[in-house]
Amino acid sequence: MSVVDMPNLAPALQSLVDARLDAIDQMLLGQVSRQERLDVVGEVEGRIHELLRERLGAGGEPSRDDVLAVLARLDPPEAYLPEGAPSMEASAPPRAPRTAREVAPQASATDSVSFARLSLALGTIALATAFMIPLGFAVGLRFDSELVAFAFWVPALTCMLVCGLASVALALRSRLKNPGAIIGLVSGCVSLLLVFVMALWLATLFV
Amino acid sequence: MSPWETQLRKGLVELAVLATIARGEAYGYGIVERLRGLDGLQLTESTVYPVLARLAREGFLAIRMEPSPAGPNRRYYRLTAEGTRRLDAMTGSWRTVSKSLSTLLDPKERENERG
Repeated sequence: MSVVDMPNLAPALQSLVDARLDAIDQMLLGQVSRQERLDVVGEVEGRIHELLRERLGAGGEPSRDDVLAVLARLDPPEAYLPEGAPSMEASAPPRAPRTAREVAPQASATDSVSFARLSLALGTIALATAFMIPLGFAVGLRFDSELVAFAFWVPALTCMLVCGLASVALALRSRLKNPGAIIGLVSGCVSLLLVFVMALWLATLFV
Repeated sequence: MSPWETQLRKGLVELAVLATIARGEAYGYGIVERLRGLDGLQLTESTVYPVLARLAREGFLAIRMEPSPAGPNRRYYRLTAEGTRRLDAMTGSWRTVSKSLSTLLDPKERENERG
């Protein structure tokens, strides 16, 4: 950062000076133009070197304590904030409206959670509907009628098929970033498997 | 420092800096030293350096670089013609305001108003 570096300033000590200058630069960031920041930081850097020279004389080699003592004599970086500014946030320039690129990921994240929840709900409904199958068996046997059993099975299997497919699709749409989506996916797959097995069994009954 | 003092001082820093440089070309910390002695202003480098940078950017100050015995080059500031005009205008305004306020705050004047 120096225009003319002091030959006697060791790298570790120069880091201390640079840290102070960077802190001042940060305080001015957003308050003044870049050129003004450079000018202010340049003035402070010059002052640091002059104070070191005053302290050590020409050709003296500064120690860490010397540098710290000189930095302590300067205004702290916070003093460069505009007077009356309560904080960095309050004094920062207003943030520009969000761009579509910034908004899109957040909207996508919200959608992802919604899809996962819907997947979980539909997967649960699909699995819960599977209990209609043994119930259909029991009622069919009780009345000794296949029609009564089918009255339970057909709507149940239709519901399981539709809800299972939707559950799997929504879980995949949410990219499985939510535990609900994973449960929805598993429930949907189990439901579809049950529908497939039932369909095969019913097919063998009629063939 | 109370808020009203902060506001008052903020408005006066620029005038004080321009008036200091009008007395003769000076480098950054030299200006701070000249101003440090003035009661009530409490000006330090963190107040003065940003004002110097702004006034230079706005064309009221010219900068001359000179090698320093230590560290980066020193920046010596002097008033430009525009800076001189600015100082004259600010001085005129300050004198008017100062005179009006002095009159307003003068106890004798206040007595006359009541009488």
